[in-house]
Amino acid sequence: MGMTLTPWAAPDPASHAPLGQLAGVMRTIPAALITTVDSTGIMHTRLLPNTNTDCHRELHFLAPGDMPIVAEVRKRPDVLVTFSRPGSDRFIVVHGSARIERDLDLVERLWHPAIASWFPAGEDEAALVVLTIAVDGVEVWD
Amino acid sequence: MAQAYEFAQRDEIQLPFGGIEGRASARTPNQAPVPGSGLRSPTLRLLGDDDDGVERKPGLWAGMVELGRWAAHALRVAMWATPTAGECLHADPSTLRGLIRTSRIALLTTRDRCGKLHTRPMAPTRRLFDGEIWFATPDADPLLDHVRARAPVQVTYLDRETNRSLVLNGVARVCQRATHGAGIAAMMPRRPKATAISFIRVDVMSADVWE
Repeated sequence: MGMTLTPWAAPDPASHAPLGQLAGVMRTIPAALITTVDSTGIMHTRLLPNTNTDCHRELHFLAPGDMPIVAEVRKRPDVLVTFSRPGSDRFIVVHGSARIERDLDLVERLWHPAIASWFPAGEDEAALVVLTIAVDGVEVWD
Repeated sequence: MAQAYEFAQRDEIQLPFGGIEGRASARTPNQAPVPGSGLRSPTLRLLGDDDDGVERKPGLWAGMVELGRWAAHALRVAMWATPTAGECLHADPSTLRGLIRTSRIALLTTRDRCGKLHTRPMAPTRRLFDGEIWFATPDADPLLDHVRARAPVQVTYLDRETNRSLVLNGVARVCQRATHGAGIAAMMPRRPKATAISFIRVDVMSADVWE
């Protein structure tokens, strides 16, 4: 496969400059796989629409409030987010610790008509929560 | 021809399935089979005894057994698949096999001793999926320690053509040698002695397809 960890993966939060290059890539990625661990140690991966354009400090995702991911994140905040670009072999893995926020202002800011089809409840934004992931490290694999 | 004769003696016995009964009624019950003339190969056998010296059409029975095994496995995989949310599909075996075959990236996600999640791409094996997945990695890889510490792992196949992701949950084990036909001969290094290689065998427990 010839895959290498590119040197501009920056786990150091002090230097964000290399991550700026990711901004253009992140815009083209429609969805992200979020891996959590439940209380029995089994990993679960779910697909959520991408509402992020960069991965500097925090990632935000919208999720239905009754999704099992909410309970799992409360117990074990350590998560893994995988962005893979359609049609290419490049993918971005973000390590971080997640928390759940019930912030309607933030929900409205993140809401976009393009992601409406992801949530059957439609405009019922009150049922949505924000999954905020504080970024610990980013790996880019080509 | 002892076997064939014994077979003919059972003509009167009513058997629960039609195939053997239809075959038996085609002959008159009182007529003893002439050695070497008929009934040379019983295509259906009721008892599993391979060393009876009877010629039979090669592969037919073995094929049926294989088909049965495959169907049982397919059912098992389908029943274990756990859909979790709206866009998650039930991974039927043909979808599963197709995605494994066409995906160019297999991500192996493990947890280290502290519980931190790690993921890395592995070379996918070109092998018909039958419930287990094999990976090869150098002995010095910390991935092996993760697997020894915490066996539940996840394998994610990313299919760039259809933009679908196949997420497999399973239990991993470190093996010193791969079983025959594990499909990893192709990705072995040219000089196997130069680096010591260990193998990871993942027994898949559930499958989800996301798109």
